[in-house]
Amino acid sequence: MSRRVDLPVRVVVFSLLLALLPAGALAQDAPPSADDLRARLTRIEQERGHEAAESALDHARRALRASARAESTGDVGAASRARSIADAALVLADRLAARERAQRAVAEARERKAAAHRRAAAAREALQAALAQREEAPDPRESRPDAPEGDEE
Amino acid sequence: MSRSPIHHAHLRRSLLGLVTALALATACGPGTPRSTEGLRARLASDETAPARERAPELIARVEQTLDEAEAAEARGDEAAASDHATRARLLLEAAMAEAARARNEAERADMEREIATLLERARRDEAARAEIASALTQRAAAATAREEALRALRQAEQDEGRPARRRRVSMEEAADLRRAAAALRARARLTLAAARALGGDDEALGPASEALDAAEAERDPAEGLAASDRAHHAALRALGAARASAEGPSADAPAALAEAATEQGFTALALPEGTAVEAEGLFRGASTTLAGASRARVERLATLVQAHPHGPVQVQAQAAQMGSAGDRVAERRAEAVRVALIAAGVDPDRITAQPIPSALRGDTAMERVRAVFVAYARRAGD
Repeated sequence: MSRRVDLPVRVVVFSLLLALLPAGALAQDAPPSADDLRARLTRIEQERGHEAAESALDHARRALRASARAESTGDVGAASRARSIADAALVLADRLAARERAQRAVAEARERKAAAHRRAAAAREALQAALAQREEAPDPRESRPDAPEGDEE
Repeated sequence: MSRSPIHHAHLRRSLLGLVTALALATACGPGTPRSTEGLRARLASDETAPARERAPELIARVEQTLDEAEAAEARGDEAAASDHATRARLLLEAAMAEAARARNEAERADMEREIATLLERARRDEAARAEIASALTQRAAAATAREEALRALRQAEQDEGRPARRRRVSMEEAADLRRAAAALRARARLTLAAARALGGDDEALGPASEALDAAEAERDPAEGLAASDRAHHAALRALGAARASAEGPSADAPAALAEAATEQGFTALALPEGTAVEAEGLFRGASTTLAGASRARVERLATLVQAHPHGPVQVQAQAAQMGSAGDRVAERRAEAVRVALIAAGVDPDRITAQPIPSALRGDTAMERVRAVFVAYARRAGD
């Protein structure tokens, strides 16, 4: 009895899976929601180095506006694609801001390296001067008092 | 019913044409749509090789998006194809930016290693120089003591021996202290003269002059040295008060600040946001409380801030630990130094405290405390 009940259920489930499989296999990942995208946009706008990503941020803003327009006209596909573009623009903005920060860090490291070079050079120069001074200065342990007369062999 | 040969030939020609057309269509296939052609070529070019190496996840997304664009174009959905191509282009730019960022990070990490090596070498040389200087001083002292001992021996032959050597050593120490105190007073007098030249009024110069007189009157060598140091600091503060009457720092002020900082035992750095004065060893281990021995250094830093009176001063700190724990330690240290500077007489409105931003800190564990004199940034061409 249970087999008779299970079989049609299995057939239906299998058919549904078969029907859904190609669609699932072909479908691209769903883009993030507009709210998520706006939150990311705000976050990047507040990050250090965001000035370098202004063009990409602007692209994301335009894509979000296009998504809202498409949604209002009921064009779900166009809205989804616009959100995907906004997502890609934000990925780009994030990387551009990170690159800018990395460039600034490199510039700062370059300054510190130059300062370290100067300090190392000054320290080496001072050491060499001290070494020269030591060479010139007599070491009292090496010089002995003059031997009394008649003590020389 | 049989068909004519002409009819058969006609049928064969038609079939042949159809097969040829199909073969051509198959050979050409859907091909690479025009919207993705350029991107495909760019993706395979040498220009994007670093991105393929350093940002493989983004490159995989670019390829997937290009596939989607080509599928949309094959379906005849031009709008979707164009959108996918746009997305692919943005992701490719992101991959290239990521590659550039990773290259910069690697470059910075290399530089941090070089800096650590250079500083280590500098410290080693400085320690060696200090050791040689100490040995030379001891050698000179030993030579003097030996001469003195010989003189004392001769004297003892004539007169009953006296503890001359012991008294002489303490006198030498006193002479050293007096020489150091005299050097400090000379520097204080020069600083006071500079403050007068800048138009410093009696109210500002008075305490420094009094401190100088008191230092000169002091007979005890150790007390005299301490009084001379106080007079020097008072003179620097008077110079700061005189400078404050100017609207802003002069063109050579950043260089003067760097020189004064170096003279006080600090390291000066020219950063884009200002001149940074770094103080080493203010904290022990992971402590966020100033080490007892660092009080004098903080007071010297406070005098430096007072002697350079323009603009805000940011106290920045960095701890050896990474992550949020390190950020907290850095923040507390910056705040501890800020509070100590205010206690040492610095105008609270000029001082802010902040941890060194993690973006500038990088991956290298490093203890740092610095005061950034924002108004003392080097100008272009300086």
